[in-house]
Amino acid sequence: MTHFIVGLINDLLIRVQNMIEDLNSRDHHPDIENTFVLSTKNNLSKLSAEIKSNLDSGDLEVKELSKYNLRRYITLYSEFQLIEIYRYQVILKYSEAESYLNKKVKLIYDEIKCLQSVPLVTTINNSDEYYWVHPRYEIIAVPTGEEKSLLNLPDLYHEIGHLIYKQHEDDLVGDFKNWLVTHFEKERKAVVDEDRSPSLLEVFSETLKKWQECWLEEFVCDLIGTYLVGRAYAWTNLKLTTIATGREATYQPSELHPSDEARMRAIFAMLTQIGLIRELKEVSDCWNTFLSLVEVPVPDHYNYFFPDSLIEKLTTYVHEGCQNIGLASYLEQLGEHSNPISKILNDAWYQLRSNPQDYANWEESVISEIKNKLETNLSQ
Amino acid sequence: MSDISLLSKYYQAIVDISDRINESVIIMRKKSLSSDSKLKRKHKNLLVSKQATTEAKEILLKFLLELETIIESNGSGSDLPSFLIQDLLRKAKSDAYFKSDLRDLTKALSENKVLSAKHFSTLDKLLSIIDIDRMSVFKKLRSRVG
Repeated sequence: MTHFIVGLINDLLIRVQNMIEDLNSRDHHPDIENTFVLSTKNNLSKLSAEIKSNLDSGDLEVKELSKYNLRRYITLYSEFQLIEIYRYQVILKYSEAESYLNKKVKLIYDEIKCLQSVPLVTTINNSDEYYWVHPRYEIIAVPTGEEKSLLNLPDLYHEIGHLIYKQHEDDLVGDFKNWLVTHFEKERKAVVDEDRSPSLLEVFSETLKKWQECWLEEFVCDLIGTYLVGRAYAWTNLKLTTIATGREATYQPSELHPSDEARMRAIFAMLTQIGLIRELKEVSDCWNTFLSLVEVPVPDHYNYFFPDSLIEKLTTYVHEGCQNIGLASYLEQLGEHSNPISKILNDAWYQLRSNPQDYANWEESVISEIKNKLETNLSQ
Repeated sequence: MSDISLLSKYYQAIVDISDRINESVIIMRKKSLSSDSKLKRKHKNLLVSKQATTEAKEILLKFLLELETIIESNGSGSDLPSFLIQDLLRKAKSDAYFKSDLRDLTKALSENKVLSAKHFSTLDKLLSIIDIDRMSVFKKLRSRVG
């Protein structure tokens, strides 16, 4: 077994070195040559050094340590696979579509006054994978062909939100986490005081844990997205919710995500907070009609999962946090830029609903205008 | 949206736990193996410093005490990922000896005793639970659909 493990680790070292050589031998797009490609090579070099250190440790020859050495090998191999998926393939796929999207995301960062380093956008996804961000590898992935459309782009602001949250969690949530704990403690106490069903105790414990682990961050990113892009964020969320109806996700939260219904309440709360009340009416009417049309089950104890009091409190915190860290709200962007991307996305949703037959032509011409603007910006 | 962001955070958290425990067990195992003079002559790397042993012991004790709290409080009050907590609680419920094995191990480490084969078997059980969760999250990350 010891020889086998040494063999496996040597094989991994060869694979890592081959990948570095492959990257060295390729001509890369100038957008990423000195940034993303370089940092990927650094990641691989670091991994290579770790593998060599493992080979030199002498531990691999001790058969009594074999199970622990295997675990080390699996960790190293998994790291290699993640670099392959989240960096190497991103580099191989990089083309003019990515170049356009990356110029656009840089413009968005400028418009929203986000001072963080700009992540790399890649189109390695299919439509089922939709949008996601990988904070460690600093990439936002969108579906192939996404450069040709506008209606999903509000969710790019949600993904940017995850990167902002990573750096500014405390600024954005303030002492909301304490507030959250107090809220569920009060609920647990009420179970005893008011002689409610004891099974609720576990419901409250699990709900609190989900809020703390995942739901809070997702809500914050929705709120940041709405703060930055306004009503268009709500329309995109309604589109996503419509698609997810088949998965019965309207009221059903997952381990990682709050329910679509609760997320929409948070979005509406932020639209109210930033003063887009007139704009809210139209989308909320449509949302209420949607809810009356879909017949999806509401889970037991749903009213305890996402009470309005928590959502409204969080919205106030996030709104204040966004302002404190200097992010430009949708209205501020309108005041400072003649036609920011966030406005174009709102126009896109307006066009789609008011003139769906001509929307394709409208979208194509607007994307062409954005491309021209980005090229002009670049040459200045 | 963005399962990958949360999954990558989970994955990193569980890899950190797995690495920390695995490396600490390696050190304790080396210390235990080094009492065999024949093995010690054969493998010079079995020698571990006192500081490394102390650090490894502290890491294991901290983790074991956290587990004790998790089991006693039925999962509340811990920063460990919830799916790992649930699996540890399941193990505590399904394995009648799990809790007493954890207590024996904690006692041996606290009293600076040389760990026995049974103690290492308990540590291996813990690492196996972590491994299963780690691979489960990794599969989701690799397939990129969350």
